[in-house]
Amino acid sequence: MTHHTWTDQLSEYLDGELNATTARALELHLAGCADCRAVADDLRTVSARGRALPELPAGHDLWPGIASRMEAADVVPLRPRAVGGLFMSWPRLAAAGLLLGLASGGAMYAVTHFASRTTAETFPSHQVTVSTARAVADLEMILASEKLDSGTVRVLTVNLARIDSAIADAERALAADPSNVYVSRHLASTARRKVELLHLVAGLTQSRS
Amino acid sequence: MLITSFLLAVTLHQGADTTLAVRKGQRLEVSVYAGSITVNIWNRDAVRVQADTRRKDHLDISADGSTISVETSGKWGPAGSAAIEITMPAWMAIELSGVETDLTVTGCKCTVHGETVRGDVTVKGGEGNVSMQSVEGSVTVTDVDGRVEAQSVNESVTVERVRGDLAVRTVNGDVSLAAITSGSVEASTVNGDITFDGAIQNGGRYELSTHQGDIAMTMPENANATVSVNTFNGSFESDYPVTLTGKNQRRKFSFTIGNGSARVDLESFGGDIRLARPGSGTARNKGTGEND
Amino acid sequence: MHPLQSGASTLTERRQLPGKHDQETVEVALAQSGDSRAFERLYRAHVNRVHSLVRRMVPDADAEELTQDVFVRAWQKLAGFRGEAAFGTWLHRLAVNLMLEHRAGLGRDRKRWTSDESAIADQPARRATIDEGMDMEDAVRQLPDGMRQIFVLYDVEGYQHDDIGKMLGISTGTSKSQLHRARMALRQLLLR
Repeated sequence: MTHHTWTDQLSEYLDGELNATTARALELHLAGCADCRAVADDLRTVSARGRALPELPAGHDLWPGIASRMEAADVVPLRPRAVGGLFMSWPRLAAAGLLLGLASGGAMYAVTHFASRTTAETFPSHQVTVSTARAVADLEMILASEKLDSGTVRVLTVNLARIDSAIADAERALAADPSNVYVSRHLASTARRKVELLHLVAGLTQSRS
Repeated sequence: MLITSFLLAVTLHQGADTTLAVRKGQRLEVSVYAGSITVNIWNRDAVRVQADTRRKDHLDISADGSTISVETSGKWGPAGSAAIEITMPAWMAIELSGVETDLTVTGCKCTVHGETVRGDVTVKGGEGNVSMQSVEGSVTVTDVDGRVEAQSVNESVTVERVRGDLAVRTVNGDVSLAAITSGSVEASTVNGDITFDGAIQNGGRYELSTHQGDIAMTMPENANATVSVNTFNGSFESDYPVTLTGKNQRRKFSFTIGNGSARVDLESFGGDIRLARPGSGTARNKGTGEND
Repeated sequence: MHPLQSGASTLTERRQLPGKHDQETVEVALAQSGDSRAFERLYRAHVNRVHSLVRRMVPDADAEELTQDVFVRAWQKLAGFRGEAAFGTWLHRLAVNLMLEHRAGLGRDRKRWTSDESAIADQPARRATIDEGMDMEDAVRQLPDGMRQIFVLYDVEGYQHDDIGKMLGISTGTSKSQLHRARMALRQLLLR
């Protein structure tokens, strides 16, 4: 073996990637070769300096630019691909590939908007997060379309509102008790229920088209 | 009239009755916009389709090799209300869909998948995996051996005398699980109660979760379970002795019954949680109202 | 019915602070349901690391604009996050894909970078110690593209070779050999 062959394996050796036999052979070589030991030390230092490199923050807060681009983004209307069935397990929901973040944000607005127009029920007032205007418009178009019966639209919006109310309850609870693991998990699972219901809405409209 | 595989369009009218020969491995898809689909079993390798409608609509029956499709359609849009009765072999997998359609399946020893928007769903008897959903209607599954996934949005879900894994959920309705034999139960609702009675298998996992509703679980006397109880605004009552140290910690704790083998998670954000012994007769009733 | 009683206990109450991962799970779920405030919290938790990654992976690009691109795309693709990996890992993969697209869009001739590698090797070496040599950031910046990307992902960001392989579309063997070459090249640069 030439020195070159030994040094070519040094990184894998330092990272614990060599098999035991090869590692042992390399260790025996290093014990008797000062040049290779020097290279190994240098590589160890290089790796350590890489790990020690600090984070490089941006020069200013990038969020305003991101938020305005999210608002102005050309949102593809909710056009889900056909899925195998309406019963949606979590992985299948995610695999549907919808731009659900924006669309479902619109649902939170659309829920209260439609509730006031389509039903005499009153909902508990709670703070609603309003997302992009485009997402709202897309979801309003779907819910107001001929593809869903008005009664079904009402049922779906009422139940979205119920989930939103549950989310708001959990958010308030978590604000009051930030260390509460159960409430934290409950908030996440309730938010997922909303995503699932919006996917169901999308699936219904797609299957009716 | 017995028909072998082909493409056929039959005009529905009152009393239509068609039987189609099928072979092992074929599956059946039935789509009816409004009305009902009722599926029964016989011991012939054939599918009988009986249709009853008040309007002159089309009933299309087609076969493409592996799938037999039965679908209603109207001359100018969706078909009117139709009562479709299917009699098929027990081995045949079936998929049902509709909008204003009630779905009923009895005795299927196969995979059953169904979805409707405004109708009720009922599955009785049989073996195999069941996956059924309604948006506005209730879902009821009884006497099935196999994995059951049952979902509604606006109504209750009832599962009784089922042996197999359960995944049950609704948003605005109760979940009622009775005489269950399963090592994996997941039940959730947002606005409704959950009741459960059944075997608690060693090593099993049982998760009952509601946001605004009560949970009542019957725990068999010989069960081995680690029970975790979580509530934010509710209370907990138990037929089994549960003791605490220190200050009152009623809202989040765990305790062990027997050797703690199974894992039971009971979570109600705002409702009461109750753990009952068998025969107490109150497991399905709401609590006595004793609160914190 | 047995009311709850204080006394000798067989109970243990588990009271844990939600871990960082638990809290992030909540934020991701909220963001996926459309809560832009939750997404902003995720942005603030991850922006420095993403910006660092971008600055080092494509040092000649506008890192701030690319960082914005990463988060805008993350918002658009959020429904596709399934929670199988940590959110930060998913975000970094998305960032790497974006940077590779950026590179491809620039239409650079990669062969030019290969010749730069030999230029590093030909520099006269002045042995002081490696710790007294060139600034590390400068040295990393001078690496050829492929080597720099792998060094940043492995040694700076802590990814494993199989993850790097998936991110960059290369085999783990190539990742390992490129890492070694990167370290050897940095050794040369830092000894100047």
